Amino acid sequence: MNSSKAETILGLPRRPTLGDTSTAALLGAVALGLLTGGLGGALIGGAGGAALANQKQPLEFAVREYFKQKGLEVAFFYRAPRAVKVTFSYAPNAFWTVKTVMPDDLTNLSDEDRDDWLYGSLIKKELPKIQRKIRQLSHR
Amino acid sequence: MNLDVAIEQLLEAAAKVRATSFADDKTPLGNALALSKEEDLIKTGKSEFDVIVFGDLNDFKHLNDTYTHEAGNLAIEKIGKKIQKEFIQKIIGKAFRLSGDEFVILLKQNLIESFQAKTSSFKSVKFQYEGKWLEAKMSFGFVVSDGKSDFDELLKRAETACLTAKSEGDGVCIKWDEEVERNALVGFRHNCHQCGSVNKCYIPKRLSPEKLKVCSFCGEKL
Repeated sequence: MNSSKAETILGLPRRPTLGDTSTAALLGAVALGLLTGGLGGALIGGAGGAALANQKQPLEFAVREYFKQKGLEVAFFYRAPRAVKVTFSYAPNAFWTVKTVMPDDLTNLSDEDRDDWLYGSLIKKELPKIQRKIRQLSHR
Repeated sequence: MNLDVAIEQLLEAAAKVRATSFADDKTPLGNALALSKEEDLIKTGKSEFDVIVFGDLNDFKHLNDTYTHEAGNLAIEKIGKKIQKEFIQKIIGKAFRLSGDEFVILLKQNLIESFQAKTSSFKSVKFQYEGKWLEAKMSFGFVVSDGKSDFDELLKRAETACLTAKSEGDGVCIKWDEEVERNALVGFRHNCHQCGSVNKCYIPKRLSPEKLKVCSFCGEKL
């Protein structure tokens, strides 16, 4: 599949780019090892701004940023090649785990597309289901 | 961004990287590497701490098996945060997660009473996971350095005291002494010939395993 320039993958949103990120968040991510290898090194070494800004946010970074924007605090992030699991806090002292697993028939994706799919599926398909459950529980 | 600000931010990031290498990944405490650094100071008499506390979670396996490892990780996180609040911020100790659900806290001897006054609050640390209220529970054992025993020996004594504390209940804290050592519990593993199960139980050191007569799973004679 060669659609990494499209904004969606199989109807799901792709990860944002580093250009969409604040400097403070980027430096924090370098410190926490979320931007590793060439990406973190390029940032510290002062690589060309435009090239870096067009890079996709790494999956864990993108997920943490999305949850933060939604007012949810990520407690743990678990990663497998074809799955992602996130334990998050939605209220003081209250937690839930959301996960997404790539179906077996979804093959031939590049590493970038695979991470985009996991991101999109987690935030657009799985997280809203959990949020509905949480709302139902709180109305009981 | 001007150069000065950029340098300042990078130095800040570098300091965070350094701190991260000694930080535990699940709690705000130090990791085993950080403890080994402190251990070197204790070994050479350069540490300000002379009390070693060992604590671990009670019924942790049950929590993991029944409510998943994610719930178990949350229990570790909650306990780590509470240790940070009660013993680091209020009593000025140092704390580390050794591995799994095992924690080590270093204190000064003159603060033992303040420490002991807090341990009962670890009887039940509640949190909500996927709509259910769960609790993390912990017991403690501690030893005061005699200036002669090495760090490993002291840690072993604190662990022995902790095992005794666990047998007495959640939130219990026991100081190691010769009496505790004599009555120390030891893990004993045995196979039931009847049902084939492998049983593990803790019995006082002074009792011989031969005194165990019945399989705890099927009730048959061993």
